[in-house]
Amino acid sequence: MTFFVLVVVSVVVGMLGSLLGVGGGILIVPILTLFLGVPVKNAVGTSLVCVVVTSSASQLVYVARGLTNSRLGMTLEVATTLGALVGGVTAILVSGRAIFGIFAAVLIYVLISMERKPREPLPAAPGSPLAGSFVDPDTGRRVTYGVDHLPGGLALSFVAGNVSGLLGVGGGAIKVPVMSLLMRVPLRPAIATSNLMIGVTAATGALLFFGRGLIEPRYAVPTALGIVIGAQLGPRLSSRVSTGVLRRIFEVLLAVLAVQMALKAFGI
Amino acid sequence: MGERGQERHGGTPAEGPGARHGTGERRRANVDVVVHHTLAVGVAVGFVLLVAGLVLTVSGRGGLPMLSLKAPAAWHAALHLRAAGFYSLGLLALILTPFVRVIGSIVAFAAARDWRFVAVTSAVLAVMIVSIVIGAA
Repeated sequence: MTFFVLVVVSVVVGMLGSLLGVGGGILIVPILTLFLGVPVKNAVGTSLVCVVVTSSASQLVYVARGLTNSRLGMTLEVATTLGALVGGVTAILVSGRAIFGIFAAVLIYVLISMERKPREPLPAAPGSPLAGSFVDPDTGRRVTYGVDHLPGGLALSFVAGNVSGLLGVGGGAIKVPVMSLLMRVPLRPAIATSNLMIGVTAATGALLFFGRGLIEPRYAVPTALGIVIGAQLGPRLSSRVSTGVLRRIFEVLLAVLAVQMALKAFGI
Repeated sequence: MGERGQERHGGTPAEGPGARHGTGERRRANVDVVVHHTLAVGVAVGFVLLVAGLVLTVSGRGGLPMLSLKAPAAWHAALHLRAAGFYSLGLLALILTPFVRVIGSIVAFAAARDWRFVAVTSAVLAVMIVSIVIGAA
């Protein structure tokens, strides 16, 4: 029974994720822990698998469109994978209640960052080896951009990796603003590159959790299958549903889950 | 985000007549093609293995286990057509897809003689290997 519930829930999460550009992790962990009674560390392990799958499926589209900047992504990944490793080890060592508390805080952060209007600064001047270019679908013109503030970007990428390994989320809500606002990478390549990084980061955490036996097939198999199906369905439904309405539903969901996770942290 | 659907295939977007750095773009395109194939194959293999596991469960060859098997045990179980083996191998295939992707990027950067990024990407691979080792320890 749990199997079918998980498949259905994950199909919905996968669809929401692909339509709104958020990873499934932010929903999977609270759903598994709050409603299905899965221990939080096992939920984090399961969620990491879902995040990897979501990233791989979306990358198929982003890479085909030439939006992903592999050089920039891999450079930042040096810091992010290290962060994920440290975060993953921390997750295995700290108490479950601490994870609930930090998770509640991150849910609130994601909620606030979704409300913020994405501000797009002028792209940085090209010239660095990390510079990239992409075809802007709105204008049909090729845009060439550079990359600013690499040291700051690396430092914050480490933090994003930490959050990912600790909580089983992708961390796109941190990576996209870092690349877009701080490093002045245009929004489309920033989203695509963040998505590449999410997959590599979550895989680093997942490999750690898999070895530790914290990825249980009875939870991970139905969720992974559901996410693959949902991620395929999402783009096909995009012309028929209003993203505005979905976004509202998603935000209410995040708020409810944040309260619940905070209560768990205090043992209520 | 306004990008989804359509043009899933076809490697990289066509170069307009105004495209400047010819060889650089072509090298980048090669990296992208390698990455694209790795991802597609990885997700498909993982999905098929998990579904195969389900088929075996339905035909009475083991349920959904609590613990995932380590790679050698999973391989052994799969050869004996036990569902648990397929589940663990399927999950591993999904998790390892980005890992293989990173290896693919190293190869593609090396083919493009872009040694700086061969080094950078190798550092990422090294961290991933450390997490496999710590996990298995």
